[in-house]
Amino acid sequence: MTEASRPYTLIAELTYRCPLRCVYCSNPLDYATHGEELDTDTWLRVFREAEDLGVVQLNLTGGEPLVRDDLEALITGARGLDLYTNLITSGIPLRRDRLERFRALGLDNVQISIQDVRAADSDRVAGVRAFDRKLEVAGWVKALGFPLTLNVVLHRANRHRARRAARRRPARAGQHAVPRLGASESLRAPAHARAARARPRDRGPGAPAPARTHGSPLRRPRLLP
Amino acid sequence: MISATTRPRLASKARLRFDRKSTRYMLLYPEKGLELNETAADILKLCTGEHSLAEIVDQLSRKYGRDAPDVERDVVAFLQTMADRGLVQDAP
Repeated sequence: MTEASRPYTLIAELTYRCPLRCVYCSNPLDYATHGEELDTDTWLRVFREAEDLGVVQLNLTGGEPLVRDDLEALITGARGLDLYTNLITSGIPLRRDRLERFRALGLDNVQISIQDVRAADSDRVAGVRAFDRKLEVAGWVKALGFPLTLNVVLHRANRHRARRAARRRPARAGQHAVPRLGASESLRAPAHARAARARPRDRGPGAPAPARTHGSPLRRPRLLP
Repeated sequence: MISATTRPRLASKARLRFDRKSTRYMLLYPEKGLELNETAADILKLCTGEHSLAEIVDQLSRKYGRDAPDVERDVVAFLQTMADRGLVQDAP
């Protein structure tokens, strides 16, 4: 495999189950008809094969990945492969002691979705009362020293508040929280086609041109494709 | 601002990892990563919060057989770009 075609990131959709009912979501609601979820050993095999292909980043998502009771084993396996391991969650079913356990197991990063910047608007989009709980969980994430990413799906009902969403800081987040707009679930591929698919990492924001590329023994690193 | 007494360390979100595919080091952080050349990796490996900038420059100028002022200029420029991206910070 050439460097150009190498996958860097595996998005592992561990389950379709989710406590939210976001209006834009492509996740199937009749997930009982979609058959069994992959079991722990199968996922661990997928992680090994992905790492062997060149994957260095793992996103654990769903549905809501916290409904899997083997998440601890999956995080342990991923960190054993030295994968940069990211949990993408609604935050709803999370308990603080479980998050502490994830921290001890080496989970690298937590992404929490909010649906809008005001509780009532966010909860309307999510289909359930979730906003206050999400902020509480975001506060735990920061308190435990995790990097935190806030994901906000932008659409007609909230795009005029995009600036405020970008400034949104979770309760007790401290001054180091710098939320930024993440990829939206609704912009991803249809659920049925993406159960265990690796895809190359998106290029990050454009890096400034190197100030100097010759005459120095210390050249700047290049951004991964 | 980076000075001789700065003790740089990686931000908590950033992790250095050797990549056997490219045989280079990578600096991984949420949803992104940097593939590092040899000198960049050598600098970041010393960013543990234990070494001052002066010590890092001293080690690298001996390793590469270059004059310390040249190395310092390059190291400071590199660390400044990394600090601007929030990937390196001064150890408390």
